[in-house]
Amino acid sequence: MAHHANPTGFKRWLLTTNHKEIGSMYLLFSLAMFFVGGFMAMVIRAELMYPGLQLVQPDFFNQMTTTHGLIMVFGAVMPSFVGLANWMIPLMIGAPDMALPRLNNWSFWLLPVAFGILIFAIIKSFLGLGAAPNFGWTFYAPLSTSYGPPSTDFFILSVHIMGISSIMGAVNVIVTIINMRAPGMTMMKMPLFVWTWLITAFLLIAVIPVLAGAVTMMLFDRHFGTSFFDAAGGGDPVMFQHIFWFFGHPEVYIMILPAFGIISTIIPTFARKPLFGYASMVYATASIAFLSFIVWAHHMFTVGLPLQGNLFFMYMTMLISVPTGVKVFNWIATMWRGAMTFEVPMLFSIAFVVLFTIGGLSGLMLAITPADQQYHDTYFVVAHFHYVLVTGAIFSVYAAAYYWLPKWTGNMFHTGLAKFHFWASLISVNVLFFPMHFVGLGSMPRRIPDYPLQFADMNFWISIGGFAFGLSQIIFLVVLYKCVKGGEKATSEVWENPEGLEWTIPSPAPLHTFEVPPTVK
Amino acid sequence: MDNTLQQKNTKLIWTLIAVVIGMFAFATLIMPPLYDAFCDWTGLNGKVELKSAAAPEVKSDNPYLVSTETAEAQAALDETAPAIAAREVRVQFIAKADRSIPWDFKPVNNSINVVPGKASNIQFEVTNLTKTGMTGRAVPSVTPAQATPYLRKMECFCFQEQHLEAGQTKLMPLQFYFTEELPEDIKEVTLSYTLYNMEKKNGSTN
Repeated sequence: MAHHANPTGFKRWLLTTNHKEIGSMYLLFSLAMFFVGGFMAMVIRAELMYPGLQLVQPDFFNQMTTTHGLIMVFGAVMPSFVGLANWMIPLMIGAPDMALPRLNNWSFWLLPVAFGILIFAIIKSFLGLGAAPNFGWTFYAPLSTSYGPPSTDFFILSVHIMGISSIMGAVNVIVTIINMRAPGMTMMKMPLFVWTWLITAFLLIAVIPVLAGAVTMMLFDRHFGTSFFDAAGGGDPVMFQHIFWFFGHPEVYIMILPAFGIISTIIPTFARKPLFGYASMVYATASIAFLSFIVWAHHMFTVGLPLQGNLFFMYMTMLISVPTGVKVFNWIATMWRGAMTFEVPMLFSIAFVVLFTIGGLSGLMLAITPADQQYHDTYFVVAHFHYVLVTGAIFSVYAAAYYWLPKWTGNMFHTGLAKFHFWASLISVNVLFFPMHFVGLGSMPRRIPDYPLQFADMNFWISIGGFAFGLSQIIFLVVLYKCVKGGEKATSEVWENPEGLEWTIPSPAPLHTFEVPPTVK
Repeated sequence: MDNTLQQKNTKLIWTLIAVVIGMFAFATLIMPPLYDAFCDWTGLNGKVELKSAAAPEVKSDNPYLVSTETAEAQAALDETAPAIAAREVRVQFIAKADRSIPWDFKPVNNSINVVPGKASNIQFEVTNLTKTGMTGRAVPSVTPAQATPYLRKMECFCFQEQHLEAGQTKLMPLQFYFTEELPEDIKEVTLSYTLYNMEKKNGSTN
């Protein structure tokens, strides 16, 4: 690559407007946050390994559950998908870069600021200088308003900044996809990862401002004498939950739709068949996105909604399983009678299909109002959303990383180590999360640092699974390091006849690609 | 070509920014009043009208406050009149003082059984634990919310601000009944009162 007087060293990364460099920074940032949030999960599991209080005080435990959730949702899962979008969308649609490169740089560099503020609050708490946010990642009022610690204001500022970052990222993705496609690439010829990201970006545009609104109202309630969520002044804490979940439920799909796109890209490559039901995949994604706006109150079945409300939200929620089922069956039909091979990205993808479906099924159980009134706020819910977020979203990001890593670095990764990473993760993640279903059905509440003795054995094994899963992720660091440093040279196609424009460019992908747009037939 | 792409981009960006601003305004400016209006309209959420209480002249606006002169109220008060609905509803009382007001506040009876259409009286005991005189106001709430439209109050301490001198104890009356239209499936109703400090927020309620 010709180097035309670009800044070098730190400035190169600070000032870059190149989608590949920004994509790499996003991915590395989310990996770092994955380990920070993972470390907090280890604290939680260490405390819960035995009944009684051993390691931490209940208030610090609450801070751990809160910041673990916030960092994993906003710091690990979301930025990793934005990183993949930055890297792959221009390559997949034959564009030279993202449409708004400077905005792209800005939206990345806001993230370290936002999480710096949040992590500062945790370090402060660790040093005994006042509690970090301790009200759960859902920050229900009045826990976060009347009863929130002073560091709640750090949290509010941090959420605002990460929200701005997400919105700018989403605007960039939409403008790129709508206006920058190579000639001949019609909407219905776009790769599914691009489609799912387009829909995700619209969800982000629609609901992140609602989140910003919620934290703004919190700020006003805390400091400027308003009573949005304070019954003393005529407000209503239940309204907080409505507003939060109006953001929160689409947010759940923001964290899974790009994963659907990734899986729909990888399975056809290793099944050596075109994706079954492309158009139905697009419509299913759009239906899921639409339904996500009218199911929010299924998180609130116990607040005392009227019967009609409970029924409406129950039926709408169950309806989501139809488009999701379409997707799962399409993936299975793609594999059906395919010439399948089990490279590492395919292993993660198949694990995704199986384990995400388990998470979806427990979601369907939670959708049933009377059942949910029993499961609400128990470990059953924890098991459910960790199956969809860890073995769903995180596994899909690993699948994507292994799938495109040779394209990014120009080197094949160490297959043996990568398979070890997969199997260690697969076994430990199930030891970690599967028993949570049972302790949840036994009504062990979430976010509590202690539990009755009957849950002791299960929790011991859950913790063992947790530590094993945590350690397994270190294998990925080794694979990544070795792959960046060297290894067998990758061809430009990397895999056998993969589909997509990204495989027409050399490996590693040069800094500038598609300066002359390719023609798509 | 570059120029038209830039124009297309600019147009799309402004459209998207408009959506962002619109959704922010929806969450902060439109949603809260809409939510209140929806709760008022449907009677959901157990939110009972708050406005009327302080000033007696607007009492008639309060749909839950009835004059003792109506026929229904007369029948409810008439102890000799036979009850039409031969069923009992358990009514539980919860009273708590908000942390803004260090008063002791509790119902004299935790629960009573009432017959719809028949009036009942109960009392709440409140003590000012501080060394200064203070004014408080109790805000009512009804669970399940579906019972709210059938609740009638003829007298309630929650209609007025209550002033207590330092250390003073006072018994506060509540006289109410449920209309006979109270749905059959409601067998238990909880009336909850939360006492708030009116000293600093005076005049800014609602």
